[in-house]
Amino acid sequence: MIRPSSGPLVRRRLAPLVFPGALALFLSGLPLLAVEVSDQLEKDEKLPTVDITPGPKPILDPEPIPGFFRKTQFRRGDPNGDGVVDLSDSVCILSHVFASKDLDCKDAADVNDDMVLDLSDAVFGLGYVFNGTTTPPSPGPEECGLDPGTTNLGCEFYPACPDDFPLIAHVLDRITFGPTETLYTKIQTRADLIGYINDQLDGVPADYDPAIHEPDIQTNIDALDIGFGSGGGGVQVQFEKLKSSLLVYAAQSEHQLLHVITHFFNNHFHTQVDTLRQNVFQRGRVGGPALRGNDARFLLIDINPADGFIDEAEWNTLIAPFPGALPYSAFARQTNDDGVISPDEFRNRIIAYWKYGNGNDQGGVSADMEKREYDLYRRLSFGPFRSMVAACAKSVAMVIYLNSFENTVGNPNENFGREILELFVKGVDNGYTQKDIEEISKIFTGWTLGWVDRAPYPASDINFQTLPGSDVFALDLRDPDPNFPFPTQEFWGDDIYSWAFVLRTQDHDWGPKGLFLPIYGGTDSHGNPLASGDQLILPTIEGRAQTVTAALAEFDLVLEKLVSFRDTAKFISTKLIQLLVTDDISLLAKDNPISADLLQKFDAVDLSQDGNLDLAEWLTSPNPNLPNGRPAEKFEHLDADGDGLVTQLEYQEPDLLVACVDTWQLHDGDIREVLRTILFSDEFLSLKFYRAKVKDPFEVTVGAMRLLEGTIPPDWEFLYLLTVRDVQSAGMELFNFSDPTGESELGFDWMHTIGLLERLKFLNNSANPEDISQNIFTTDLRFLWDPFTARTRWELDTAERVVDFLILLAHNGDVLSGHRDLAVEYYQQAEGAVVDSFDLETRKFLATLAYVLSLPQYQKE
Amino acid sequence: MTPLDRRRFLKWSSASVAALGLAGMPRFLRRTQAAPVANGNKLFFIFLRGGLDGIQFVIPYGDTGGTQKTYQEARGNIAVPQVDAHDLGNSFAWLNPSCQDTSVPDGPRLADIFHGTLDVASQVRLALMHRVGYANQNRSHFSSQQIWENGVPTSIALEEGVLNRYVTSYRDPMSQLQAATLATNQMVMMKGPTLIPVLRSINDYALPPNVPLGVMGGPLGNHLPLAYGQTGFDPGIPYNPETYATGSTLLDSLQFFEENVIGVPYSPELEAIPYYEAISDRGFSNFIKDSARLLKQVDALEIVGANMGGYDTHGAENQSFPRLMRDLSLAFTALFYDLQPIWNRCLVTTMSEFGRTSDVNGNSGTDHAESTCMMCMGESVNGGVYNCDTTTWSPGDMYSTSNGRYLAHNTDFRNIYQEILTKHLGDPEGHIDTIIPDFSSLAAENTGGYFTPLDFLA
Repeated sequence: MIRPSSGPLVRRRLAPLVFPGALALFLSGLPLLAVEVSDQLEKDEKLPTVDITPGPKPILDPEPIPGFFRKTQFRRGDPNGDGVVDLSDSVCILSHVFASKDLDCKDAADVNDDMVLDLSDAVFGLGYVFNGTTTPPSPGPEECGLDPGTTNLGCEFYPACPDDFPLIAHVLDRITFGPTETLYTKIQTRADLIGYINDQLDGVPADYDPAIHEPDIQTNIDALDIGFGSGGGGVQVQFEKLKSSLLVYAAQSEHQLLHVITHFFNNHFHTQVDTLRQNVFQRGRVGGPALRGNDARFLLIDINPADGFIDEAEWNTLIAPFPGALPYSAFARQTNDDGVISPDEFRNRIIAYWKYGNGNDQGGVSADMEKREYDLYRRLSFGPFRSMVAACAKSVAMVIYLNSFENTVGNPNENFGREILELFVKGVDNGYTQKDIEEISKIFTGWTLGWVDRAPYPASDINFQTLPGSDVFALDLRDPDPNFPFPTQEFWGDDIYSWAFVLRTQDHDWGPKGLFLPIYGGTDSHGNPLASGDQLILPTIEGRAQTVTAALAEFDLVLEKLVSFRDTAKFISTKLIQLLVTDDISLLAKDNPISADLLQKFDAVDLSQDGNLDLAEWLTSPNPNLPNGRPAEKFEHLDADGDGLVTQLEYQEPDLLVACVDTWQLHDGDIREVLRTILFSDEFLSLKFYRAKVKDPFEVTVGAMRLLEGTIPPDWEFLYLLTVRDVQSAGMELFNFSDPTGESELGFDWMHTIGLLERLKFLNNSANPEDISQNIFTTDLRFLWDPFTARTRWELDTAERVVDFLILLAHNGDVLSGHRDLAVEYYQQAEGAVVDSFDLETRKFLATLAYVLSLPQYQKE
Repeated sequence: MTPLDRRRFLKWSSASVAALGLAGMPRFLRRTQAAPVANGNKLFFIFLRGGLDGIQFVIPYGDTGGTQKTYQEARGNIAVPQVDAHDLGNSFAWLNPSCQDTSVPDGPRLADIFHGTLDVASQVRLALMHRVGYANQNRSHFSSQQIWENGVPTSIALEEGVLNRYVTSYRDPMSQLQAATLATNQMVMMKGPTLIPVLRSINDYALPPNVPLGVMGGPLGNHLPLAYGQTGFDPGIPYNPETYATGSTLLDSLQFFEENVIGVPYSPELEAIPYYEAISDRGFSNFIKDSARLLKQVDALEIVGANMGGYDTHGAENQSFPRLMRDLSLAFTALFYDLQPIWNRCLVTTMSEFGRTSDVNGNSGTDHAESTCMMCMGESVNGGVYNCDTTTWSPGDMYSTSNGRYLAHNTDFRNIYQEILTKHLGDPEGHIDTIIPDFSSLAAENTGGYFTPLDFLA
């Protein structure tokens, strides 16, 4: 029996292997003449090349595999599945009608689409073949497709159309936090998939706000109660609530790609919440006077009755919005204490204090700053990169985390200056030197965090220049006085008060600055000197010109310069490609010719003109703009195969990377457009890098929640905290990762024993939902889901059907046949292993689910 | 994060296939692998992440400054008064006072180990090695940690650790646990051809009781190992070998732990307990306590690694650094006591990616610089202070780098590694280049004297 491999389940075959370039190099010495393959090679099998030219074809004898929620594409009129509609198909129909021959694709035999298989279908087909008088309805005989109707006769197997399922699963694994049965049902074909990608790119409302567009998500976020004054639990619980918000977005949002990219940039511009807390509250700072009375506030309070005096009842209305407000008696002691407070008594007196004396509140403040930063990235992640860099540089979380608030004239702190160049914008050693770090740090001097009366400012403003009628409080965190003015959460609503990025002019370095000067010797990612146009020279700012506006202009100018470098486009594009396509960009195709500009640079170093660069040429090739020469490290980086020579091909950038950089430059660094370039590239929209990445712990946990369509009720937020702890146990700290690098985006960094063990534990817990009907809960519970519906809907009544369904759902049907056999055996033997209150079949189902989720394939995407 | 380059990928891939080869091999066949040369000695290292301020740890009061600033002048408001520090006896170097914390009343402190004045049968030795670094110091955390861990300063991206190369060279076929990492992620030092187990804690390194993982010992016990033991997959796809081999290593090591560690009654040495309990960072305390347990309980275990974070002291250094010194010193004292049963086989050492600027910055902290300090404790250690005396430190050397801002290094970190590998772990002569690439030629050239042996080990 010939069994084409386009069905949803994978079978082995013997095949010669074609390896990606790098692996071919090192495997070339291994005796791999033929290898039994199935786990991965199916990317070729799943998209068979089908000969649809006219002529006699063998009638295949396929073995149908249940598709469950997957539909099979077919050509109407071609029930024998040979790819062409001809006389043999009518014979096939007649064999079914008169001799009860089994049909794998009845819809293909229902040529006139009347939902009945009879003689008229054969006649209809003959009319099409011989006279052209009739044309079978959609999808017709020429194009592969699905029956557009809501009812059909069924098509379990049709070998002559591509199975798009692997591609769909592959893409959904990358652009979402995990596929679901609902998504798989909705996206049946490549065309559906294209539509979904476009919708993910362009279907996000311009003013996307979870509170408006996805209120269920906002309900869950609100239930987490992140920030100052929340339910307690201490510092770590505050941080876990913050981390839980990531789970909520990732698990529930329809705008999956937006959140994937936001998650990426939040990690790219990483700030560690605990360091943030320590930096703010170091030296015993616990808060101080926060709010003073003024006439406007007097009028707000004096409302019942509005008699020009505030009495105790009116004063107490302060308590709800401002819990830090002084008790009436305490304030009254500062006045003539005649039972009411006059405007004069109220004006300019402190009416509220804020104290952050315990870890819970300090954690809340820090978590709030982080949450705001994340929300900012979410608003900006589909826009220009320059906006995100500005958000990063001006976010109070970053200002605190990387010590910008302590960077002052004469005493520069280089921490943020170094990391913005190395980690956030240009990449390690790409076009900057220690001197550039020192110079850029001068530009960042004096900028610190503060808080501001939000009302006068446009919603998009995060700079908060002083405006008439507004108060901007710049906090000097070097001030040893613990009673420093500091707002609390009650002011943090965007319409009241906000954290602010503000300048202490006395701390700013107003002297001259010079960046990216060729004399510093910085080299770009190819080891070439910077161009004279790359430099940025800022003159001294004198006397009365030393304004916030002037300092901000310097600040914005340097950000603008940073994002204009080609290496910035290259660095960010590379990371996005690594996120979405492959960790190893050397595996990307280089089919296009090298650019003339790059070739010229190559030739300038290739002194011997032999088409290769050796280290001696690299180090000695003359260039007056390289005072320190070309760095040997960059030669080694370019020498991908380590043979001591850099070939032109090694010097060249991959086509996809070049395309992304071109898009970046054409669209002014617009991330959405760069994403579009990646997502519609052959490298992404194919199976070339199918299962080529290892999922990180967050992706595994959220993916399992989504796969089982699990839910967490708003008042069960502790389940999120438990999941966050699982992610932490697997090695992922999320907001609390210790280094500004952010956590690795490279898959293999996550594959180690403790990481795998903790993932398996989580998956094991996921598959054991607890019997809520019996009110049985244990600490193993992670989310609620229904183990019964799918079993009933899909009649999962045998070991094979259970296993096939679960493998289809969790692994898009693609596992080793040995794994399937093990799973079937597992189901059959599971009876003695399960110990909960469910009925036996449910227990066997759940045990098998846990086993299927524990298979190696689930660790990959 | 640098982009993954092809070399990194190739190194990693070939390593993984090697690992796969072992993992997929029946256990009895593994025992026919090349015989080890292990001498039974053990190494425990702690990587101090963030860049240890060596000048604040071993304080060079003896530097008169010359035309430059003295320590007190350089450090301004974070300078430790000399009267508070502990005299290390060479009239030049003093120990940070927080190393002499009194959290354990009347108990010995780090300096007692240094001076060998503890009333115990075993010899105690502590070496404090100042001015350790490498040429063309990289001041990025990520890059410099890579370099200290992979031992190849010209290859920042190389994800293969020095100690993994050692373990791979001398894989002990009789040992199912030759090395281990106590951490939440694998560190580069331990990455490479041999898959080395990582665990957060001994007691958590076990399968949960519920299905299906919890039935490993029952009728379905083989199903998970069989799933990860499959070999019929395409090795041409990245991460397949790693996924399967990691699974096999995990399941093997879980079984090993259950039979040989978790199930075996254990308690730390009594004298060590108060020191463990006094360490403020509970996570770190647990890491080192479990490390000591493993080193004692698993006779064949040669190498254990752990991390200690928080050394990136850009601001308010006097808030954080004393705590770090206190915890580190308590850890060393705890380890000294807890490892007594195997003390003659042990070496405990620290490392860090770089030192910090000689001058205090504007916010009472210090920034990334060049050389740092290493600490090494064990019976075979020639105790003392290295590179911090009048013969190795000229006045004003705190500003001896070419930019005049940092303390230049005197000793290449690979020189320290080489002594540990050859003298302590028994790496034979002529083999070191396999573990530390190009070491022989570097040592022969000895440019700048950076490879002059310190002979801190007997």
